[in-house]
Amino acid sequence: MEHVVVVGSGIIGAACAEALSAAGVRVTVLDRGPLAAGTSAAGEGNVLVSDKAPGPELDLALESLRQWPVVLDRIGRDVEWQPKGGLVVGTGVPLDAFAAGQRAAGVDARTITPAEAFEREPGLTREVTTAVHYPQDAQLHPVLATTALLDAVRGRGGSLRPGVAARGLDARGVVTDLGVVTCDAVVNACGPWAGEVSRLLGAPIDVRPRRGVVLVTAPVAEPVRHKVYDADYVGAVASGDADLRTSTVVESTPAGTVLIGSSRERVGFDAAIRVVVLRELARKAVRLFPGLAAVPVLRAYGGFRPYAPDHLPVIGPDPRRPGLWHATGHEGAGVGLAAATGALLAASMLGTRTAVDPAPFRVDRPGVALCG
Amino acid sequence: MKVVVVGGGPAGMAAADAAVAAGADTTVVDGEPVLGGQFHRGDPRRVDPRVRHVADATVWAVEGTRLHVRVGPDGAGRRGLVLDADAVVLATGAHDRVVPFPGWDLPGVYTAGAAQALAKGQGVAVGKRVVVSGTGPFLLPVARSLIGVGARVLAVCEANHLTGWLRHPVVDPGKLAELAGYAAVLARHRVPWRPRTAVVAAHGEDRVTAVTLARLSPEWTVVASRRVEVDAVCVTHGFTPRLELAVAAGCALDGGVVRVDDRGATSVPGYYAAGEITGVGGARLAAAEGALAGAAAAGARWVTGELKPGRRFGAALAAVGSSVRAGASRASADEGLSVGGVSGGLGSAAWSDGRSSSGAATGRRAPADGGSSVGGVSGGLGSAAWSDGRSPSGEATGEAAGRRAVAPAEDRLPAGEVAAGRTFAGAWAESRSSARELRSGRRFAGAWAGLRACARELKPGLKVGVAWAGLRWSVRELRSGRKVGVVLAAARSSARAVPRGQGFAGAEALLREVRRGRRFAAALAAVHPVRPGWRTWLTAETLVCRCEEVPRCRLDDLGPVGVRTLKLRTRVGLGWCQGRMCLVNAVELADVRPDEAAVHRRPVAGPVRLGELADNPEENP
Amino acid sequence: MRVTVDGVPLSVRSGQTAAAVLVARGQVSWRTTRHGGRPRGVFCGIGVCFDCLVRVNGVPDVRACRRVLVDGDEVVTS
Repeated sequence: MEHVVVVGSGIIGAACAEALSAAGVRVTVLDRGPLAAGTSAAGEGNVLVSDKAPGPELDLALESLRQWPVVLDRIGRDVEWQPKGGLVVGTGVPLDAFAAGQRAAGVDARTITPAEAFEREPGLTREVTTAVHYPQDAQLHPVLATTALLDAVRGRGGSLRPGVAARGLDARGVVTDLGVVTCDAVVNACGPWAGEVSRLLGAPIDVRPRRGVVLVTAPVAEPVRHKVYDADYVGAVASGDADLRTSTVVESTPAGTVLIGSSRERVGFDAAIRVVVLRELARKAVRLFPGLAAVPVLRAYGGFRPYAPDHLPVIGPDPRRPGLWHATGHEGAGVGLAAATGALLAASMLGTRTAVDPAPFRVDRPGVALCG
Repeated sequence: MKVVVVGGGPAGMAAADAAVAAGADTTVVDGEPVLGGQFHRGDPRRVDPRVRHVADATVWAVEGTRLHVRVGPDGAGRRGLVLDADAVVLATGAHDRVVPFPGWDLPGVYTAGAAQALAKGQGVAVGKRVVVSGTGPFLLPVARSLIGVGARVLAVCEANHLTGWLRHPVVDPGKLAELAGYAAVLARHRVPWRPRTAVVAAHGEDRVTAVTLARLSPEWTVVASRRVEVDAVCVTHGFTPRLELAVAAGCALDGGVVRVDDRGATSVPGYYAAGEITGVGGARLAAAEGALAGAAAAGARWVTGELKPGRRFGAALAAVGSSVRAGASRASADEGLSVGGVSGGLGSAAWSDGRSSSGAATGRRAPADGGSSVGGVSGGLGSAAWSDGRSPSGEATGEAAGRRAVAPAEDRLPAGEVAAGRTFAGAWAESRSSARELRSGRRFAGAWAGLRACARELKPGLKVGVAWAGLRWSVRELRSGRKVGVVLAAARSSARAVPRGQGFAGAEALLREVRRGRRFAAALAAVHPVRPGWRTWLTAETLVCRCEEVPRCRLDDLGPVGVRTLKLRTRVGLGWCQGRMCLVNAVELADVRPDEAAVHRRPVAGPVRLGELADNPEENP
Repeated sequence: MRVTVDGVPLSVRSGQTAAAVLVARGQVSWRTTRHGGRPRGVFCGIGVCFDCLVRVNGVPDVRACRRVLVDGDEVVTS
């Protein structure tokens, strides 16, 4: 394995490229647009275990939590890594059973009293009755992280080619709109566009976009200290919009702003910001932190999460096209899962031992690989 | 048909007037407490009373033609409002572009627009010793306003050289006269005007105390410099159009402005644009564009129909008849009889104060036989708006006269036209009173302007006769001190306005105005560009983004980036102003993939508080 | 009309903005930036730049250049 082309320069493509180049493989990263400008430029930078039920994704997340510090150490760059911890709160929703299951799977999930929650987050609504603290949850700056990974690839002799689109595969390598790039393997890391690109590459997979929107407030005097989640999903149901779900996450950034996420909508690649979604996010944030009501919203941004029908990432070789690999379908967790995904893909490709079982993520599992 | 106009400056007001004249249920949503925009700041304007005016309002989001609005002064409990429109006219205007230079974020450094707003709107001078610097004609009114509120203007520095205008001759006596007026004020106050000169640095600890004035090369690099003690600086390097709503609506951009056709239609059905967001060319062009866009948004046949040039000779002939009646129209208007003659008087509202108004030409469809219809009424609406503010003292009497004129008109007019007639009669009355109020100097200018226009419009043979008649009239009026310009302008406006056959001369006149204005705008852009040498004024530590305090060096060596990645990697444009002040500059400093829309993409188009966002707004009250 | 600016009672004319009152009193800056503590006052003057933020009647982050004062307003700079 001498030369691998990674198509897609988001966090997953960058992590795969970095892991491969760290193992001595020459890597070329193509992106039809600017670098790190798609889904990775539209997320919050979550590195979470708190939101995952026991299963393969949680295993991958726990491995990623171990891998991220290793990767960051290897590339030696500040990506605003903040091990701030998560706080899941509810108003009447029992959280204990879920947390207990996570604990059994290896998550540090600590049930705390409302008083302890208020001590951790003084601005929290006093309506909170249940709370679980997840010290492992962290945050990083997704664009800085992606850029740092790509810079490391370039530093090891790899090549970054923004503005070059993959059009297909042939015996030599990847056909692009600027000619053929010869290589031994190709990684489709196109996130929500991976389905579209997989068709061009002759091996379609079922990966689709799911819209997400985040609100950003003006800088506030009293920052939110953790990632704070609302465990209450009643609001999403009550919104009467079957294709809209919001699960509130409120957190501060190093810039002093507060991020309020996030929605899940099935609207294809429609990038319009819907006010009903913003309203839903605002309502829940104000309910969680009443003091935020007077804070101005500066902006809203949206992106597209890639998801497979079973909501598990797709990582591995495509048996239909030798030399073609996929790494996509991480839905809202790409940043968190990137470090382990890069390691898993590189190890699988190079035939070394993998830290997690690759089987649940394989491409030819039911529903993912489509008939060409 | 519901038309919502966003913005209450010259373009927005003309659009609202034209839309309502065309029969649309019209609302104008504006951020200021009073209409007039930045151009008429401190000198509030009015629109047709049938237009619903939502003041102090921020359109903070658009979804299709559904507008989300917050109404009321910030910090005082604003109300949420949702307006569903059949068509939207965006007339959101522009703000100063200021390129960064060392010290530009010191207190005491203002945009020229800030100095202008504080002087004109509030009677406050931003300093005692002020330098005005930048490029473009806007420097001059700002200097004049500063002088007007007692500041000492040490210099007006124009970074470009005006010889550029020789290559772009714009024969526009109105603009030349305006310039001459500014020049006279500057000369009277011994204010030096310095071409190829700019403030390239501001100095001071916690406020500006001095500036570096530099002599510039044609590319704006510094040739020589000296230090001048000041307590304020006003800078403007052209204008940045306020495009967030247009971008949010999906309107295609072209060359940094909204792409529109002749009638202001954007690439998005139901969306029209006018004024500075379609190209910076001044208030008069904005108003002409607004009138066309407003009429088109309302589906007015005279503007959406096939425009056929020609037949003007016939129209001019008809005009002679109507202008003869217009000569006697003072009396007949009072009696509500000779509507055809009255239509001739409409243009006079605009012309009698010595200035043309694109609004004046709005939708004039007065039939030559006069008296039987108020088709021409719509034409007067724009003029009313224009004439009243220019002679404020005439307003009260104008209204009174308007009321007198309305009553008989109502008796005559078909029910559907009564409202229009009322407005028109008001306009007419106001135009009379404004003529009365004008000082003789302006009166003569009005007459003269009318004469010129007349001459332009008519076939050679008629020109002389009408011009001569006009001159006699104006001379007589100057002496007697009444009703000057009315008849002259009437002749001119009738000549332009009265359609015959299929020609829609009103729209044609507006289109001509727009084309002329756009030629001027193109010349303005060519002579007063921001030239690349400004980038040499910055040091590594000079802030590019004043909100997030991003120094220039953070933009160095980024490699090729997209706008979104530029923002996220450097924090440029992520602060309070969301890049409104800095992004156009930042994309010129960094290696950014061109993406016009991304520079202006702000789906939350104005600040809205989280609690307000959580509220249920009132829908289409 | 009577208003207070940082507790100081002032008499203002109808239609005056908070920014105009501050500038007319000779104040050129009334807040500082988050990172560098740089002073900020009016810059754009028409509500675009957000440099001139003040607190009005307890509501934070109000643009002084856009806020026409009404009787009894309490303006607090920071």
